[in-house]
Amino acid sequence: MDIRSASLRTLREMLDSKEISVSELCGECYKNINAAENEIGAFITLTKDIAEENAASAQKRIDEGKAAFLTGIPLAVKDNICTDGIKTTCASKMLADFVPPYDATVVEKLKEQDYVLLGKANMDEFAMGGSTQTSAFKVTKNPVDTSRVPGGSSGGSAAAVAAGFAPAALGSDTGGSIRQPAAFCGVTGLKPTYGRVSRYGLVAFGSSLDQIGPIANSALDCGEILNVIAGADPRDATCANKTEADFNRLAGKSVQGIKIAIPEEYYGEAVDGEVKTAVMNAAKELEGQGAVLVSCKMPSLKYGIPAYYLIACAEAASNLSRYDGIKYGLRGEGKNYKEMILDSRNKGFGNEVKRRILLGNYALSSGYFDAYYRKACALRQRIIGEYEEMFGSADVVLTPTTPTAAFKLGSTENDPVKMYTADIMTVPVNIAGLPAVSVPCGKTAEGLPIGMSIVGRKFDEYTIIQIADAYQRTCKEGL
Amino acid sequence: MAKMERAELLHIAQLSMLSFTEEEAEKMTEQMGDIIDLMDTIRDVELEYDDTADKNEVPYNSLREDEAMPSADTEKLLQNAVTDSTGNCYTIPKMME
Repeated sequence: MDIRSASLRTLREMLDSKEISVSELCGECYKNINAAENEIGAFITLTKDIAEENAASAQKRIDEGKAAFLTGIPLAVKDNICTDGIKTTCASKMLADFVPPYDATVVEKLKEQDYVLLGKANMDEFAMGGSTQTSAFKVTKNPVDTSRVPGGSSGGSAAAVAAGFAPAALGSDTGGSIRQPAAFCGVTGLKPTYGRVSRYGLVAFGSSLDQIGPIANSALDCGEILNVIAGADPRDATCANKTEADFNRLAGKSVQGIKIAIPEEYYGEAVDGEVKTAVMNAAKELEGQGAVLVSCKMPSLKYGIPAYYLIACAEAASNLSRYDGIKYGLRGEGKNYKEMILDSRNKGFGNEVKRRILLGNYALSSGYFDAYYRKACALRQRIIGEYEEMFGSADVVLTPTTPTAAFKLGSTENDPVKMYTADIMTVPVNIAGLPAVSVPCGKTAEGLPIGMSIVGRKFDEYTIIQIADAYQRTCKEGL
Repeated sequence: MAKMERAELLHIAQLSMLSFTEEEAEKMTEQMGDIIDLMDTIRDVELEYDDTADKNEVPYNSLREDEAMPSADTEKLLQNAVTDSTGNCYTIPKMME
């Protein structure tokens, strides 16, 4: 069977009707993994033995007629999401041998449904990067074109879905790390509203920005996974106390009259012509279905990159100060306590992580705090205000997910500024804490996927899924 | 704005509990200079952070009930650490000369 063409609901029906067993479904995933993982490199850890145990429990539950939606569904999980007893490395030498003593809340929720864990997906080290090239362990290649990056930081998760290794995966998104790899690999990725999904057990990077979300083959599949992982959590005080309902409840309803904002700054010279054309064609398709396109402005977009990097790195510098080699993580050598900590951090962190810690501490240090960190927080308020203005006259905002299609492996590795500026389209959404879904909307002449992002009001994942689904129902063929 | 100086890099590295060889410091100083240049684009924006303006749709610090719960398993908590012969304590190098 073709894992990529079957929706999660179809897989659910096939499992429930005994058309396929959980073991057979996992076998299909591992068949694809065995055939191409050496080339793609989507996983840091494959958990076949655990998957077999999970499959047996899931099958028992199905046979007893007690299946939940994800019972027996195989998933990949990004390697910065803690899994009790299974290595969670964050793609860093620092955590190369770290075995969490607990599950992240999202993993607990998946386990309650008896999902199947296929493996832990590769990523940029500590989720810092947009190409998965900063992983300390391996390179992940884009399944669409193996000379190119899969994007990042959830590059392993997106590649696993694109290669048919898993019908869906969990990623995390601090500045675009779900949406950008989804766009590069031609799959769908949803970053929920900040506070929608518990961050307990997600290895912290930028705590006011981080959010776990799904990568799958359609917006509806993303909604189905969000149905399981969303919800209040007493262990995460930033997790909103919202009563959840079916995130796909508006799917299938007409988009007639829905207003879609098109901010002109997102369609400027920095954006590749083929990307602009594909996204505008998608906008016209939605207009043809009855949606109303509204021109608008987002003047502060140009400040998005510095504002984001200053805030994210300041938070990262603080979060990563915990890595001292004492309670867990790489233990360095040294004659005394301080030498040991320095050696642990020098050996454990890669260069990109070190750069971001340095930038964060620079922005927070005396003499620079007002000029950088506080100014970035002020810009955050302005960007939030500009979104509020757009949502005053529109229901969603439509933008390209990335300025270009996937770039060649190695092309940004030694140029951090080039790497950072490529995040321009996605970071404002994290700064404002909004939900957004990236949907494939065309291909370049070279056959590389192009993604568009539909951004919604806070806690309105319903409408962005409705619009994404309306587009995918009519335009999925040929993408 | 001047690019980052080497002495400044080494100072920030010290605050960050990181250290660099001569060669690493040279490369890092150059890269951090480029990054600070990128960040400098916001310095001239005339805008003040408004401490009173942040909206809290998410109830930060809405604390859970203070209820007793089982403690985590000591063996599991220490499985990632260097421990002493009893297996019940972390060990670290001496802190004072």
